[in-house]
Amino acid sequence: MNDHSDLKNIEVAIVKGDTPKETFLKGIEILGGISKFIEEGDQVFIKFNLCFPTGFPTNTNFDILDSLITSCKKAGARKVYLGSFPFKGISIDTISKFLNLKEYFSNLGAEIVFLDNSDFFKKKKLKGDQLNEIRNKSFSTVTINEKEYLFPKIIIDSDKFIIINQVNVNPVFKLNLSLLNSYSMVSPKYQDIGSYENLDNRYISNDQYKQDLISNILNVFAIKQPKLVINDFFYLLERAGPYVYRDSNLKKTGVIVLGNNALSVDLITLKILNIDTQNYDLILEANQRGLGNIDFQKINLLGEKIEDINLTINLCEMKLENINLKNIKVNSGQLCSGCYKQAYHLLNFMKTYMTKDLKYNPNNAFLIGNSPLEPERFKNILLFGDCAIKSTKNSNFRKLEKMSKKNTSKKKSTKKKHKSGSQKKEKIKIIANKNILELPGCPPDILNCFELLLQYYGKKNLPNLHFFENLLELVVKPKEKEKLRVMGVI
Amino acid sequence: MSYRKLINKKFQKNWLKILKYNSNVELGDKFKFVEEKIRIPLTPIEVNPYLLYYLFEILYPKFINSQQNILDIIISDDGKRVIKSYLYKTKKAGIHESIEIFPHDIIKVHKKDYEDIEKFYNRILEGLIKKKGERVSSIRVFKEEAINLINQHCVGIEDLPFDALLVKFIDLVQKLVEQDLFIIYPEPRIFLFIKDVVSFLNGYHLSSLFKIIYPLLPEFNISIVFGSKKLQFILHLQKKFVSKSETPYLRLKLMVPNEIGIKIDELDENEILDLVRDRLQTDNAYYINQSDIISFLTDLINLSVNIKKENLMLIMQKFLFGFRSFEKHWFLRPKPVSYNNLGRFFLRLFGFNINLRKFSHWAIPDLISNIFDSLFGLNSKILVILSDTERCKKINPNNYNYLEKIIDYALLFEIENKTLVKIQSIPKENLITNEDIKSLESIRNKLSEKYGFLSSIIIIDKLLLQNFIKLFIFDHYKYALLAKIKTLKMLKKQKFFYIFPESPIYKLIQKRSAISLLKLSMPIFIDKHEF
Repeated sequence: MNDHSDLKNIEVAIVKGDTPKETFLKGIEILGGISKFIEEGDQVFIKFNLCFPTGFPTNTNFDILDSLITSCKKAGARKVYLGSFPFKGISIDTISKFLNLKEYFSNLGAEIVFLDNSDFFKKKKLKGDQLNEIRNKSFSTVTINEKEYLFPKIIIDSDKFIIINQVNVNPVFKLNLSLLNSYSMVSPKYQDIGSYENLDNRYISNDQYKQDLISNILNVFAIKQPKLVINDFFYLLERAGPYVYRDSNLKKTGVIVLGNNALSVDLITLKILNIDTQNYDLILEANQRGLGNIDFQKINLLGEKIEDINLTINLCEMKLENINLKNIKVNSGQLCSGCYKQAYHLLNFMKTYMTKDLKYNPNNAFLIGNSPLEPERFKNILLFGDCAIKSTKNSNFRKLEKMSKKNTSKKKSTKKKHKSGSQKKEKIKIIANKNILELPGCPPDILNCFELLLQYYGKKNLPNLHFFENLLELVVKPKEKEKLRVMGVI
Repeated sequence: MSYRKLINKKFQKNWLKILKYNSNVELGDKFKFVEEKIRIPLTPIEVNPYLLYYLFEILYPKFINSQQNILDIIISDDGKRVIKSYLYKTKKAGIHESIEIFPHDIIKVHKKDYEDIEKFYNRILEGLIKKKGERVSSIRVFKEEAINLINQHCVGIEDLPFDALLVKFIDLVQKLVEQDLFIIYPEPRIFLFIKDVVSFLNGYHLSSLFKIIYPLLPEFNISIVFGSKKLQFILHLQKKFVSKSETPYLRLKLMVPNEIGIKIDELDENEILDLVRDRLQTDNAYYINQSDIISFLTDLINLSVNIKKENLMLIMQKFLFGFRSFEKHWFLRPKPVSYNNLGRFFLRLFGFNINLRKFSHWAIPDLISNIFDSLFGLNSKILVILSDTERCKKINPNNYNYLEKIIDYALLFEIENKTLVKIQSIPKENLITNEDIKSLESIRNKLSEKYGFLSSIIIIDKLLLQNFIKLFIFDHYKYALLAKIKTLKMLKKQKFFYIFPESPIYKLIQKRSAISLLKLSMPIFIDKHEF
């Protein structure tokens, strides 16, 4: 099953052009033509980016996808399949319908694969047993490094496997590389790192979440390695990504990197974009596992020279405090990549889609990580993640002092005033601060956070989020969730 | 070629009248009522000469050139010789008051001058100072063909309704710019803006866009008072159907309040509007400050024509802010019922908080742009089809050639990194090329082959647009709740509005009732009172 590519003949082409389509085709030509990768009668599986029912660059550039499919068909491919698992809770059928993908690919002579079997969901009288049967038929259980994965059989059975990856900035790995793209060959359930019951400082200081994530990504990648990898950053989403946010900017670089080894293609991509490869843990770990080669001498570079393409891009904001949201002060403690990633997306979502909500609700403190700084005089306190919740159990902001005397307001312990002598002493009562919203999880689930935010602030105070909640219900369908669960997808 | 032969007689006669009037106006003079009117150059619109003087006085320095003396040069089409040159000495910037014909030998022109106008200007300036001791702040160079086109434009314009004249005028400007027949130095921002628009349209006629929009406008009869401390003037605009079978015509009149017997001294805006409405018998009358309009137009022409999302949002914000500033920046008679507190109170009882003074000028563009970006992407190609289902009432929507029959216009919008970079008209023949292409799916596939991946096709019916423009723009001051809800309900019918593929926002519109949609969006559209 582990389809190792030939590490001795690694070829990577760097291509620059005027249009994505022309650049991609030029790259294929430089590598020796599509027939070098696809043989007559092959069954081809193309893994592409399919996250949300939205446009480019959240998903792959369809002009390049179109050219790739046409090239494969020209080379004599018997069947061309395309697929990917989308964002947690969204079925492929939903995305396909919103983007009309089934018909679009069918017209090109290819077929979108409903890896989550969501195309069966609409069939009436489909019971749990039958869903289980469908699941068993479409997935294989693969064990890698003592971890089990449900892996789509169609990918395993395909003669040729291609990854076409839209490169955008990524909060944890700086860039969405093809290795990351391959991760969505398995369902969100198998992408989950899982919660840790006993959080200790070592878990956070070693960033165990990221280490586990890297290990998981490489496990999945090792199951089926691609014959052709395309890192498309002709247009690259910089500053905020990999989804479209307020601060996002689409940079036109005109460059595509493609080759026969994912690790090497990713390495060259990083190099072109001036990102340090010496300490890039995902690449180093992949190299250690023998999944590719990071020795530049052993990579046959074709096309443009790296030094001729000098690109600098704006990466994601590494400090959550710098995302700069109106009326929200972020205090980070020591945090792992899991919480950082989720908070990054939540804060960017709020900045993009909840401007009115933020204006309506002033004075919010957003605490994240282990032992974050105590907030001062904030109306609402949001505790993001189990670490923040547990480590602040005894913090001062959890309690409020209420004076029993009439017309007295809530005051903190630091402002205690003892009145002297003849005056009556005020009775001070300690009560729990109710203006705290806990967003639990390790890391928290964003969709769950939306629900909790709406409950806490109320729909009237969050008109934007209330609107988006209605929109989201059409995408993350509650009725489909159960079926996705049975199917082992979430 | 003599001066008389060169310029259209009527144009010339009118122009000389303007110069004569202007030369008699002394600095500090106020409006004087005169019997004889003059025409606005290149139009048949007759106005009081002082009004034209005033318009030049406030607009020319702002939009074209704020310095004195202008030189017009007419050169041969090959750019090798000067045919005529005229010097306008101006005491005030933009006020043309005397004309002096220059001898041929004063200005020499080379073919390359047209390409390097700055150098040409400097040479002229030097020559004029040396030979005549004069300075000019601006030169306008016309090729001979430009004069021919202007002359052609002037023929028979007196009998044209304003809509036809506008089409003719837009075509003239587009030709002058496209064929490089006219240049001006220093290049004013407005000229650069027009050049950018023409280049952006890439051969598509701006007048065609007007021809699409004009039939969508309802019949109207409005007056707009442009207020200022110095001189107020009134624009009377009317779209009128003579008969149902004939096309409607547009009528425009410009006047000062005195001309219709209104003495504005000591009258407030609403009193002025009541009188204007009464005298001109218009359905409604608006009052807008001249300075606000000038400021809005200045912002507009300073925008890049490749419309960036941020710029578009800014303009939208300014417009909406203006809209919410009722009785601060603008006035309307009859007073919009939506500002009636009792009416608002009753609506609020039913859960609708409609307070146009709290119209969320900042949140609306934000919501629209963010939804647009996330659903259509930062790079996208969107085909917008304007349909006319009224024309094909008898054809069943399932009929194989229904689509072919209903399509009126199709425009392809190309967006790159949140910027509208191209608009092109797609002829109907290119959309439906053969019998197999009868569905939106097949149109999308066909166009994707030619223009690249087409993200979406949006079909909007004329009837929906007409109703929307009538009820929400022209009749925004009326409650007309049922009619407005009925129009919103049209959004739910595929026949009138359709987005292919059916994006989540389209599904939301379809799934929710019009009232429920209003309740969901109103809290975003209208601000709360807390800030």
